[in-house]
Formats: sequence, structure tokens, C-alpha cells
Amino acid sequence: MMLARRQLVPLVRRVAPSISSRSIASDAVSPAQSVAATTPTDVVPVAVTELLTAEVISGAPSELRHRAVRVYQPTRNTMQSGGAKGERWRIDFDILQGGGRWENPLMGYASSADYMQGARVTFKSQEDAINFAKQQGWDYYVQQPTVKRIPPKNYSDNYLYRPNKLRICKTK
Amino acid sequence: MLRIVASASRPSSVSLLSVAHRRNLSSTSARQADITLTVDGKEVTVPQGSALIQACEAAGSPIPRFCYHDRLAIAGNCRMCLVEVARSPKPVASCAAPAMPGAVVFTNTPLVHEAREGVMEFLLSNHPLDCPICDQGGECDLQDQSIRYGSDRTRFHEIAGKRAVSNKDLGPIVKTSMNRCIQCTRCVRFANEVAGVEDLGTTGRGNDLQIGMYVEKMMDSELSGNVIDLCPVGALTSKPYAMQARPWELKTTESVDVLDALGSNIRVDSRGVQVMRVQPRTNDNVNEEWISDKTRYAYDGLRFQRLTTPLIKGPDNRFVTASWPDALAAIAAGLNQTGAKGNEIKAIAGHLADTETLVVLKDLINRLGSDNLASDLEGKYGNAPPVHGIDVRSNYSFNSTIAGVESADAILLVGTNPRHEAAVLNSRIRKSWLHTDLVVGMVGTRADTTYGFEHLGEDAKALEKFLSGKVKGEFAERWAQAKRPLIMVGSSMAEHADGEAVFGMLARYVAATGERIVREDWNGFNVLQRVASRPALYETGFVPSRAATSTTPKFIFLLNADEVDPASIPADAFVVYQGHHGDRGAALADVCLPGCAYTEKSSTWVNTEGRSQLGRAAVPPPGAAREDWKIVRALSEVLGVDLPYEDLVGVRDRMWAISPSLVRWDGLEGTSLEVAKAGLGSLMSNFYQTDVVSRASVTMAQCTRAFVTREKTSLEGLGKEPLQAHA
Amino acid sequence: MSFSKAFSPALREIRILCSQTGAASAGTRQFITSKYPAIKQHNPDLPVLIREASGTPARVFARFEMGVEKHVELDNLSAKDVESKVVTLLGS
Repeated sequence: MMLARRQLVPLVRRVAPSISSRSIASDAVSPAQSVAATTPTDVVPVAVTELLTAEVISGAPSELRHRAVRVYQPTRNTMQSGGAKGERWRIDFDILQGGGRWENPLMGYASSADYMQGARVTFKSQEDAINFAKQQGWDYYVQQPTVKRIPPKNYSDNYLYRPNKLRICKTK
Repeated sequence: MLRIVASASRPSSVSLLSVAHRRNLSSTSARQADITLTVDGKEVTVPQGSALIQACEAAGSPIPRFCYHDRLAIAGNCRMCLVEVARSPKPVASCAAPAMPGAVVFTNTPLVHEAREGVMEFLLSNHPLDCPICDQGGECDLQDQSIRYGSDRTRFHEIAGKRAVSNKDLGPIVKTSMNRCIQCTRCVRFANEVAGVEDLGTTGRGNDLQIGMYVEKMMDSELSGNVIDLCPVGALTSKPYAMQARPWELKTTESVDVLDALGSNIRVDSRGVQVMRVQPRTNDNVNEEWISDKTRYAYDGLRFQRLTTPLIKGPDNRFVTASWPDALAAIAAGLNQTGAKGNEIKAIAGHLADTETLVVLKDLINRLGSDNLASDLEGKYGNAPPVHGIDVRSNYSFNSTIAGVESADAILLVGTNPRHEAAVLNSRIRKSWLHTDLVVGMVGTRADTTYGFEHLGEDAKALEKFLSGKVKGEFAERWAQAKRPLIMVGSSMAEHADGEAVFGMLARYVAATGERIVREDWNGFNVLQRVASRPALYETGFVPSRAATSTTPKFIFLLNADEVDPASIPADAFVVYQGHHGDRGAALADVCLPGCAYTEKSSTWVNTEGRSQLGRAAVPPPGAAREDWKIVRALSEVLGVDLPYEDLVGVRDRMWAISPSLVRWDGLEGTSLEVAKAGLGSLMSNFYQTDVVSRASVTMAQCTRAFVTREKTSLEGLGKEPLQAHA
Repeated sequence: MSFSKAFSPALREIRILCSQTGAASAGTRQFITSKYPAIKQHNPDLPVLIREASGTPARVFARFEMGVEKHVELDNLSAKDVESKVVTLLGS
């Protein structure tokens, strides 16, 4: 069964089942019109420009078209305070069920039947990553970027007056 | 001190009492002054009240720091964040300095370089040469910042050597090597503000400053593992993970945690086929940057007692390894042999059942003619539909949203101890309690929740007394005036004899207060689930019908169900267990089918708010184990049941047809006000009655049993909790 | 009204999907607020799942015995039309 490819709606088949596949309400506002689209974009297709797809000449095995790819911004390592890695976008393959990894009997290394398990492509922006996935003909899922809301911080907050009973004695 | 995080930042010049609450939908985000300053020649606009370090980061010049952390109070003692500000006689600690309008800041001048080199030199002068044996190597702030900002040569020629500090024993989770401590006090601030155990502190001053408990004491917090992330050097490291792996060997996979119902975002680090550790992922809507200890350390249970091949129980009651076709054929034979039809075919879903499998299993069982879909709740409650009903999502979800808890001004906890059931949510309540005038009242077993609360009683009678306004006290007064009151009912109320009465009481109260608790922009009626599969169970309708409740099952399919009471399984029933660990459930089974644990499959998990999140497989499952929904689908083929999907896309389409929110990952679908009110109305009128007995207990005269929260460990064993956790 | 008596025991589950705020689902939401209490009163054991999601077209599914599921589309219908369509669905 052929999986749908090259649509902005990831993992949706072309042959519709008895109900309209992932259809939208007749009065729904498409994300292109709404101001801040916070819901995932699996509902409304955006006009896809014609791309020259690389998969025709890339020589990649056809099994690759059935595997899903995740487009995401890697999360910041919480052990460190440098956050530059989290600004880039990455494409990563899901592990292959049954062909993933096993321990090599000779050296104990991780052998794998999955030739894409080490493939990790980095991009500067989400659009670049999505275009690349479309070009290669991969089904992709876009993970929402990290939700981070850090309020303005102020040293004088350490000394703010609290009425009523003290809830914390600031030691350090 | 950390201000409340809300959907928009707010001005700091506003006094505490007038902290703005979340605005209603019509107005724009909180108005505040924005100031403009120049950093390294770039103009940047930041909200007023920001620290200079935040302004520099916004301008694209990140500043090195050790003691500053986004979510903790500002200390300003490491001095690594020094920047040069025009017309200032000294370099300025950017974390402690407020961003002033029109300031001209330089982060790259020779003065700044010298300052950083100097700070680095001082830090390294007393820092032991432990890099080869230190766990933090490869992800150490000190290493990276000394390469980038430090000097290239040392001037340290002390004959006497470096300072030595004794190691403190903080418990089985946190390993300490206090020689490496740079006294940034991040751990102290975390323990004080976030974890709520105000035990860590500094002793001595100057060169003799030591971080510790002062008395020999364990760190009694279920968030204690987070200090390991916070510590910029290897002073506090993870004891279970000590000396196991280096960070560059690890493959990171972003996934979702399933050991409680918060759905904390995690990053699973694996090497080869083994999960080496679990780290948190930042998500301010769910878990901020923290994860509980159980989430962090339960991964080693993934290596033990795993089901790796299908097992069939032989005539001598011992399991025999079988192949997949044999095992599935044995199940089909067993089903025929028992002659189970209709509601005698039962499925019990456990704590870690993922949504795809629930959907496929429900379809299979329904097509076999049965509605007997139970869950492994305590006692008999798993075999009946839950008292709060599953019709309306707002009846069993955390409607205020986890982030919305911060904007509540009075919280009533009913039969729940959030510290044990959802530790990270508890830290959010504590954050709100510290920084606003939130008051908390609790009806239930008294426990230490890390914030002060007024204990109103232990049973339904006490709740009734409070709701009818007969209780006097500070909490009652503040509750009556609260603009955003929040009621948090524990999920153990659905497993309590008085659960129906309590839900009815609360629904009547909410309706009687009109717009105060449930309105357009605020729904303060919440149920805190504690089991990861429950929200998905209820969302997909995986509950038994009343007719099914009274049927004796002949064929039972246990899906990860390990909390079933063995006495409730008839002796002649044919039991199939599908799961990943050979625990109690597998011991009861006639056929065991090995499935995948949460780190081995890419499946959907719904958290207590109803937020659907997609986990990701990090490692392959062991042995012959397969993905859970595929097992059920294969079983359906063998049993001759036609399911209309064959691949993951089909299953996800089916999930979309059941409830579109299941496939809207990372988004949150609320319930509209009218439907929420309809749901509460049905709670009031007791539509979800299970049997005559519980209906009779609605009368207040019988509501005397105390609400006991469903924790596995006693309160005394707080620090020991993570050791016994496994999948 | 045909909702004032119990449905046939062959009906095992009703599932209503609609949008929380869209105008196309307004009829369905109205139907829910007006008829849901009555339905539950006469069929206390029947799961009537109401699952809302923004932007989703309004539909109602009915599951009968042996897992047979039927559905009708309710997008853009008024409350009365919704009612009649649901009645035909449940009767089929």
C-alpha cells in the first residue's frame, strides 16, 4: 500500500477511508490566516510548490520512503548552559523495528541493520528541513519547538516585601 | 526571586499585590514597558525589568555564567557574566543588573575578556584535576567555558596544593564530590525554591565555604535528581549513572515519560541497545525543566525481568518458549476452548498501555462482541465505569492546564497529594505559593506538600462542611473571594467508596457558584490523574458497560495490567498477558506476549490535561518483542476478526476518528463551556452510578472513610522512593 | 421526542465529535446541551462520548453490536437537523 508522500500533512494516506481523512470543519480558519498557529499543522494543507525531487536520482532504496522522519529542534542539554545547539533544526530517522541494534559479539559494539540510524542532518531553519524531507520523499513529522517562557528576572526580587506570614526564609 | 511565569512577561515595577492574573481572551497580552538598549552594536528591545543577561541573550550575544539560572533566583556570586557597560567604572554583573533603557553594553572587549579569564583562573585554582574521572566530562560548563573564555596557561604553582572539601552524603540519588564544587549555590536555591526541602545551605565563608546540609541528612525530595542537571560542574552527579557512559557516546531521543500522568518531556540517552539515562526536556506547558526522580531513574528496570519471547504455560504450570505463530494459535485455541462469547471476553488495560494499542484492542474486543473493557484500578473499581464518567472530557481531565495552575489564587486539594502523584506539578504550585498570595486547602490525609496549606479534614464530611461554607478560617475567606479558584480532585477519588458522593458534591457546588469556578476563560474543576494510561483510556472509551461488569469472564486479555487482583480472575479463565515485564500480570497468564516498553515504541500518550504527546523509540525491544498494537492486530488476524487498518497510518486515522485530539500532538484541546456544564450536570444527577450499593452510600451519613491517597510508599520513605520504581 | 425512552440494547456507544467554537458545530453543541441530559437519563449505561477538537467537522458515530460503526456528518446543520440525523442513525 503506497503511503502518501510529499504532503505537508504527515502520515495521511491518499486513499481515503469511509470518512474524510482528517478533514476540517467547513468554518475552520486555516492556520495560514490565523495569527499564531499553535495547533499542529496536520489539518490544513498549504500550497505545495513544485520541487525537483532528489529521490528520483538519489538511488536510495525504496524502503526508505516508508520510514518516518522527525523534524525537530534538539533540546538543550540541561547539564550545561549553552543553548546554541537548540537553535538548529535536525532531521532524524525513527528506529527500524526489528532491525535496530544488537550487540556485536566480537567487540560489544552496537551493530545495526539500519543504515540510516546514524544519519542526522542539521538545518538552519524549519523550512529548510521540511523542504529537504520533501525533496527526498520522506514522510516527516514536525515536532513543535520547545515552549519556553522565561519571565524578566530582577535581582531586586530577592528583597521584595511580602505582607502576611513569610513563606520562605531566603538563605542564599 | 523568580516571578510567576505566565503567558506574557510582566513589569517588575508593579508591586507584589497587584500581580496581574491571566487576562481574559478579549484583551491583549499584559501591557508593559519595553526598553531598548544596545548590545555589541545591536539594538534590542526587552520587557522592562529584565536582567541585562537576558537582554544580551536576546541580542544574540550569549554570556557565560555559572550561578545564574533562568528558573532560580539571581545570586550573582560567580562573576562570570561580567560585561562592560559604557560610562560604568567597573564591569557589571549582567545577571544582577537590570537592563536600563539606552544602555550601551559590550560583551567582547578586552576588559571583558580579562575579567572572564580572571574568574576562570580563580575557579580553576581550587578545582581538582578530576576531568578523566568526573562524570560531567563532556558536558561540563567549566570545561567548555575555560576553553572558550579562559586563559591558555596556568599560573598556579601552590606548593600546598588545592583546597579539599569532604563529600556530603545526600542519599542514593545524588553523588557528591565537593572538591569540585565552585560554590555557585544553584543547588541551594533549587532546594529552597523549587524542591521545597530547605535543607541545603552554605556553611563558612570565603575559601572555607562549603555547600551541604550541615547535619547528615538525605535530600528528601522527589525532585532531587534535578540538582544533578543544575550543578555546572561535577560536584553533584548521578549515583546510578556514575561512571557508566560519556555524553558523546550517547544517542539522544526526545520522548515522553509515562511513569506518571504528567507526560513530562524527556530525552532518553542510549548507547547501543541500552538506555543509559533519562534527562528532562524543557517544556513550560508541562514540566518546565524538571523531572521527578522516578522518571529519571526507573530506566534500569528496563533491563531486568523482561519478556523477550512469547511464552505458553505448559501443563505443569511452567512457561515454555514458543514462536509467535504458535503463541497466537494457542490464544485462538484457548478462546475456542473456553467458549467465551460476548461479554465473557474481557480486556484489562494497565498503567502503561499506549493509546494505539488501546484503540486496536478496543476495536478487536468490540468486534468479538464484548464491551468488557476494564482497567486495573484498585479493587472493584476497575471493573466498572468510573464514577466521574467518561462522556465529557472535562470530567476527568486537568482542565485548568498545568501552566494555568500558576494563575490560580486559591487551590483546594481533594484526596490528592500532588507531591507524590505529580511531583513537577507540585513544584509549580509551590512556585505560585512562594511568589503570589496563593492559599491552599486540603481535604484528605495530611501530608507534607512542600507548601503551607490549611488542613480542612480527612473525609467527605469535612469536604461537605467546607463547601457549604460552615468552615471559618483564612482559607475559607480567601476561597470565597478568589477570582480563580481551583479544585484539584485526586484520581484516587474514583477508587474510593465515597467517590460518587464527592464528585456529586463538587459538581453541585461548582454549579451553585455560577461563573466563579467554571467560566469561559477559566475552568477550575480538575481531576489529577496519576496513571499515564488513564486519560487515554477514558478518551477512547475503554470502559466496561454495566452488563459487562456482572459477567464472569472466561477469556481475559491483560494489556500491561499488573495491578489486577489475582483473586478476581476465575480459575478456569484463559488469560493472555501482553506486556514488557514478567511481573504479576505475566504470572497469572496462560500465554505471555512480549511487547515494548515506553522507550522502545513510538506511541501516543495522553497526559492528565488531555494533551496528546508522541513518544519516540530510543532502543529496539529485546528479543522477539514486537510493538504492542501490531501484536493485537496480528492476533485479530488469527482470531478471524477483520480490522480495517494494517499500518500505523491506519491506526492513527482510526484514532482521529475516535477523538481528533489524540493525534493533535503537543496541542491541548479544551472543552467548550456548554459541554463542560453538561458534564458537571450529569455528575450532579449521578448518571454514572455503578450499582445499588454505591448509590446507597451517597447519603452523607456513611461518608466517614478518610481519603487515602494512592501512594506506594509511606511518607517516611520519601527519599527511598526512586529505588523501587521500574516500568 | 424519541430521546425520552431507552435506545435498543444493540446500540453500545455514541460518539459525538465537534468543534468547540466553530459556527458549523453550533447546532451539534446545542443538541448536546439540550438532549444529553435526557439521553443519559434514559440510557444511564450508554457511553455518550463527546470529544471536541478545534477545526474538526461535526460528526456523530454510533457503535452497535459486534463493533459495527456507523456515522453521519453534522457539519453546518441546525440543532433540529442534527436531531433528526441522529435519530435516523440510531434507528438504522
